[in-house]
Amino acid sequence: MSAKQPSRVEQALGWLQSGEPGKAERALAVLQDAVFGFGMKVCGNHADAQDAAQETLLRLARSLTSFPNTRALSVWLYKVAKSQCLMGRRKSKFAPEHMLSLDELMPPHGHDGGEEPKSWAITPEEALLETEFRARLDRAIRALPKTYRLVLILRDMEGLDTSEVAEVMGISEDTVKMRLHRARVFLRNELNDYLRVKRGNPE
Amino acid sequence: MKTRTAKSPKEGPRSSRECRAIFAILSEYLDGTLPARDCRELRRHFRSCGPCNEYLETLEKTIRICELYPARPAPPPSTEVRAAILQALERTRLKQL
Repeated sequence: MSAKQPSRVEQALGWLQSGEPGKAERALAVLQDAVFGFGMKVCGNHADAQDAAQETLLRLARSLTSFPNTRALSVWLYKVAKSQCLMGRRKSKFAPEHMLSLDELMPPHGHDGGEEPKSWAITPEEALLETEFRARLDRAIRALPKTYRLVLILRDMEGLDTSEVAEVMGISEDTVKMRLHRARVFLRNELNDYLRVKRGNPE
Repeated sequence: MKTRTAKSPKEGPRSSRECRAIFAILSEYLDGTLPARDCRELRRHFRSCGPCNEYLETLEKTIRICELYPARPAPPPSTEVRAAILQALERTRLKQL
């Protein structure tokens, strides 16, 4: 597998680790955006995301030189941010923990998307511009059990690779793949229900 | 949600088993982590199975939606964070001298 390009977080951490004062403000802005953005996706509310970003970046300031490279530091940063989010004040926002069963997530054969392909005619870019779609997507993400939700956010939204997600979550790569697939399928089915009603042919 | 049991006249039990097995590895197929031989078998299945092919396309769109999910605008970092990071940067710079 080819080496991944450094993420914007790794790049910003590299600027700080290099000790270049000229890039400090830019690095700080990138990291604040990244950690706050991650916090919003995980916590679902501004206050907890802001608290998580504040505490995570203060801890980063104390640990800046403790890691051999920016990849290790980036994984650590997400680990801290994740823990901060889970300690947030509004824990009730998380869906109850339960296993997602693949059998239950699999739609009946020949139904679902097969009958109404035009429901999905919208492009992802167009869909995300619609307030109602975004609200439905946010609700679907929040409806995911925490462990699935975190894997989905880290992998598909934050762009970490499977081994990095495994390190942040403290689970095996196989478990990351299993949870990721189920989270994606769950989300796809939730969006399908919405799009079918919204755009499908009413019977 | 119901488990799938409905079968059209064209779908025998073999097709059902295949669809179920393929459903379990769709993400690995989309992530490009399956061996080439498995990918060839999946592509063959998608050509002859409309529902699986459509599910694959909609799952791919879902992943793209997640990748494009826009971040909420962040408030500026607090003065405490800003000062701590700038001090850490200065410590790093001095260590390197």
